[in-house]
Amino acid sequence: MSFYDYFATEISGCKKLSGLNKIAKFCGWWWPFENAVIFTDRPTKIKCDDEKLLHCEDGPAIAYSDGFEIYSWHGQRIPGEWIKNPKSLTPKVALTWEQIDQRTAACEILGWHNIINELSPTVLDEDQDPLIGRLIEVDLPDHGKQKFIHAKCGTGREVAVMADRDATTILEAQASSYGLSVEDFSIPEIRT
Amino acid sequence: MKTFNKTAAQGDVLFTKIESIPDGAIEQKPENGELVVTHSETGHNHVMVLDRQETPAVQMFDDKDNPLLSWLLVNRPTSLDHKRANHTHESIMFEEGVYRVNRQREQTPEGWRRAID
Repeated sequence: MSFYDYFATEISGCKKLSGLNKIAKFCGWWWPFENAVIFTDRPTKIKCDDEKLLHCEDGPAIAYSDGFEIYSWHGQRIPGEWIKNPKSLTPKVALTWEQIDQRTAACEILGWHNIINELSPTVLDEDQDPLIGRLIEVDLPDHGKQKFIHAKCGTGREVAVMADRDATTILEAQASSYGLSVEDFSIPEIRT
Repeated sequence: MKTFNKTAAQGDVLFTKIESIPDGAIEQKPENGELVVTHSETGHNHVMVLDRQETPAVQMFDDKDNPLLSWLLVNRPTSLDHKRANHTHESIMFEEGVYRVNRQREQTPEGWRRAID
């Protein structure tokens, strides 16, 4: 509506839309019928990730003043319990969740490094430097083989990133994860 | 503060010192006096704070096609800081020069995407 509001303000070309513009300023979704109109309040909160997908990792992604909430992880709607009560989400719950897209979100919320240890990973290659880490492969239920880079980050936390499925060494996987060939990849002198 | 000669990483971003910025790269505007090198979904961005001189301390250029690839032109020594209170990635000092910025990606069953930090 802001697009048409510009023309209504600057060029006086869309005056017939002024009523719709006023409603858009103060209301959320609304439905007109012959003898009645249903209006909804605007959300008190909307949170998105940097790709503009509904996302919030510590609360609802959409909240209304009457308490109605929607929880979302990178655009995937998820049970609010996973965010409100993190202990309710265990690796077992995540890996056996029936809806596949929600299962993926659950694994990301927990962190893949907490999931892969439950799946008896096969170590394909390992560097002595824990910051470079190891290339592992696991058998994901209903998906099949998936390779991961499993390493420590500069803060000492454990991280697992889905690796290039063609990588055979941890250096190949690390290089590819930055869009580089092994020849163009230099091991960082410092990693924080 | 940590320094480096050729290659460094902060979180899931890799920095490599190179000779020059390729033609066609698009310069990015700073946000409130800061250059956001990597946006974070939680607002814990990796930033370089600019000084007030006519030529800014750092300029960033993005690849026109690849959102995971950028370059930094560091005109005066500047630190890269991570704005998070806990599990903070330690700051890194950049000396003058040109640096390639590669943001980490992962190959999901649906294809490549930016790695989730």
